[in-house]
Amino acid sequence: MAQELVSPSTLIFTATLLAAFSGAPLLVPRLLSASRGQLLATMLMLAASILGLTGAVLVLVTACTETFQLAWTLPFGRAEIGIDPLTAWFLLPIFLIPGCAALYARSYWHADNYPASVRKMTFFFGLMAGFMSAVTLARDGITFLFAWEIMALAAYFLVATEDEKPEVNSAGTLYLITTHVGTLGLFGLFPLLTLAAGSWLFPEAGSLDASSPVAAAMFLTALFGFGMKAGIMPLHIWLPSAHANAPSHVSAAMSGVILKVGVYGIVRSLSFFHSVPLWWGALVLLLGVVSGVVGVAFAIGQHDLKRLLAYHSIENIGIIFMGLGVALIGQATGSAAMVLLGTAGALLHVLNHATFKALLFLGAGSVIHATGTREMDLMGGVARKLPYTALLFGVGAVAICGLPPLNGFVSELLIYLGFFRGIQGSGIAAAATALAAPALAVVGGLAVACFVKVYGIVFLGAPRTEEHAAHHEAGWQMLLPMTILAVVCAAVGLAPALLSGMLQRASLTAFPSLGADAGTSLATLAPLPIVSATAFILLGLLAALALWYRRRLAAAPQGETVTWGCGYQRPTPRMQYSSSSFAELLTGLYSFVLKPLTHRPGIASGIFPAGTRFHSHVPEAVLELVYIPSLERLYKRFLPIRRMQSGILQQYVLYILITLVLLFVSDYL
Amino acid sequence: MSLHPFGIELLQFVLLLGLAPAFAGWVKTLKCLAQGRTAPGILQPYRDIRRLFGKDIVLAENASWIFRFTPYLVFGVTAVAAGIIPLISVDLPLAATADVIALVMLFGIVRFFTALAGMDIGTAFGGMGSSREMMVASLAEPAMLMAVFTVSLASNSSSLTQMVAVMGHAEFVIRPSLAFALAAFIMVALAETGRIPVDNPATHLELTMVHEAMILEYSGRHLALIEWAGMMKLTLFFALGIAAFSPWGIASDGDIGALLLAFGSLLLKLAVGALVMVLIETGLAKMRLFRLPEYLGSAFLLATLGMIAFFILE
Repeated sequence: MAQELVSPSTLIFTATLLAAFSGAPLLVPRLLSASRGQLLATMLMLAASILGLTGAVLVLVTACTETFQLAWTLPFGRAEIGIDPLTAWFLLPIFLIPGCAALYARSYWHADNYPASVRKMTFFFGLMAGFMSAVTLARDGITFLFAWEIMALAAYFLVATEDEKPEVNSAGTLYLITTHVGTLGLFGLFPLLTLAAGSWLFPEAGSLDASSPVAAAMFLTALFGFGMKAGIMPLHIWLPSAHANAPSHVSAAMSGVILKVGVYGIVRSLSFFHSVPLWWGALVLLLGVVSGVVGVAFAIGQHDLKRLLAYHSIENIGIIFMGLGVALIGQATGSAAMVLLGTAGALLHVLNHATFKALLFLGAGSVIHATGTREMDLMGGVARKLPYTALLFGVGAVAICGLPPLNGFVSELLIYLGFFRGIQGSGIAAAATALAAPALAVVGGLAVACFVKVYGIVFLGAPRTEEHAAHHEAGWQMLLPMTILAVVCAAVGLAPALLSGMLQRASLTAFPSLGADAGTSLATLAPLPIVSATAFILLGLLAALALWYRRRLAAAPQGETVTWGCGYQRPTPRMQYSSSSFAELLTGLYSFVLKPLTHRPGIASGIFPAGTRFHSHVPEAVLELVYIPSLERLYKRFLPIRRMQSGILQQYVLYILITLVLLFVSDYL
Repeated sequence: MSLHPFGIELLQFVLLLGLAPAFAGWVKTLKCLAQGRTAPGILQPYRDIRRLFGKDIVLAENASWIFRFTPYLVFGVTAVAAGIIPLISVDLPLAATADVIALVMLFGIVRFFTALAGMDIGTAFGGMGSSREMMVASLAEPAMLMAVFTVSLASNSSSLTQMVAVMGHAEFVIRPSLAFALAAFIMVALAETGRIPVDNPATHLELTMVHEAMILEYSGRHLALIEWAGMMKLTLFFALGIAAFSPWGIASDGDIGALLLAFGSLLLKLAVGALVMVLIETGLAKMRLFRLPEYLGSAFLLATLGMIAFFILE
């Protein structure tokens, strides 16, 4: 009995419920003051995180798979929830990030400063976290859709936390529209699944044949529905504005985890099939390449700190898709090594992106808190006043660039190794991977450029404006979660071998065909211990240098003088490169997709020239140049049908009645 | 008598550290000869480094710890890269880390922090240099990876040491894929090490500077470390090219005789390689910054052609 109580599934279910209703006490204003309620909610969320993480790790270590039947009377057949290593792997970020974000919010969004919004914000935050976990636990279509919708709607209320601002409102609306268009795809997916598998329950992994037309339709609807949530490139339009306008800890949770729930959906639906055709893998790989390259190119053009980070999420989802594409191509060509390296790389990048992106968003929140603006061109020299935030943000920046010795390097390395395997294959598979591999290098190079820009403009140099100079370091409730995330980034980078068993088990759940090839194991395919060794050498070297530096050299004589400005006698901070001037070369290079807008006035002439202004901006080109014009055309075409929408409630009730009668009648026919 | 693999690692490390300034001096001497100037001698870089170490540092007033820490980091990380590229032997334990990718990433760290140091001092110069360096790097990296991929295809292995071992024992045949890849590699290496036609290491003119603009504010031992690391990087790129395209003579284990032979052939190949580079540098003018994307794009295309040639012809 005692053993039963602490079983991993009990831990995870308890954690899910605890997280989902952690904010519920706040809804009764008479029960608790807002500040106390927030404290209680934070404690509950932290407890949920610890329980959930423990449970997930236990599942991953023991590789146990369990399903439970829910008491349920809806006419869709059985409802089931369950756990397996794949679910558990996604539960790691789902419990880690909201826990950290909740603690951060205790200081960042403190009840005393935001009395109007703190109650609903805290409640929906818990709800979102709990139901993200529920989505991964669901084992049938209906339970999945319920959990999915609650998660998506809770996220809407979080994006719209400050709904008195018009830009927040429109970002929220855009999110709401796109998330439901995505759900429409899922409404297509699950009936197709019942068609193929015979029930709403999820079939066994690898049990459906992928060559039928139904399977192809399922693949495409899943890619559309889940891709919308994951923010894959042509479907990403909601993401930049939603991430930019939500409170920073919400952005951290959304970018870190909600996108990953979309990825989970795709991995789970792919796992149903065996013998997938080659074009599935090629399509996923292509989407990954487009998202990766175009996402990071857009990121470089941004001057709003959080919008920039949002575009990096699109880029990283692209990297994850590249890994999945490699895995699918491997499955189609019968290369177990490719399947394992691709899946493991993608899954590890899910965890890695969750940690470093959450870290970066939390760091951005601290910076915005201190400077009072999201506009990078107004900041500068923040590292001087916020040394700890600067250090932690730096860790996140190095990690997201995929540089050793941190975690981003490890997952990208696994995907690169998958590419290497693919290139040594033959035919189209080899050609596809050969062309995709340099795309990953392009993404890496541009990411480095972009984070040099962010870090250099925001943290280094001198403040560009008096008004937005930073004054104070963040409090411990903001620094502690960031420290935890930074430690995770470093730990995964330094000792990836510790995770290889868990990764292997999670990959095996997704693609059970791997089990047939007993010789394939991550430990033999990827030189993880040597990665660790190199990372430790690097770290030891840096530590030794730093120590030596502190002991000896800091005391050595050094003069200080004004920076050389070509002999100009009165340099001002405004002469520094701005984020737009830094990015100008690269945005120029990619202007064929970015379509940057520049307002370039002629240089004034005359003896006393009047003042003049230059500004440039990289808009969300896909939304503004593709979607909106075509949707407007569609809107005009469909105006006659719109007469049905009268806005009179009675009429809608009538519609519902007519529909019900028709359904009733059709049942008898 | 034979050397332990870690002994070889250490030997390579010492070799690179000691040899890099001499190599840079050799390049400078050849260049002077080619341009009809009097050469300062091969040993001049050693004297320069010693002189810089003896000088005091003058810091810009905006400089934070990043600016002061970067020279040490650049030097240390470049030295670690010496453990990955097979200079004299392929028996390198560290090199098993999917080396080429790890190598690109190590140089990535160096570039990341150098560019940050350029931004740290808060002038237009630093930002200008960082921005330009980032553009060059983001285009050069994929081309370099593509070139190395072609070699990995031709030798049917993904690790640099295996590639070298396979190619070193193969018969000498001119393979079209390798010829294209070599051309691409040379173009990229010129960009990565900041030589003409991409960047001119010898000038301080704001219209053309790339790398020099980033490190303009460095002085004293900081500058010495950065210069030294730059020389090591140049040598490493030559060593990488030699290892990938003409590894003949390299030792396959730690046998002392073989190592000596490998060392001799390395010196010879470096000397010849420097001559090729000097001829390129003397024959060409520095390219306009805005034309660099075309230059690096062609390098990428050449590498892709090499890969296609492999699929079609071999």
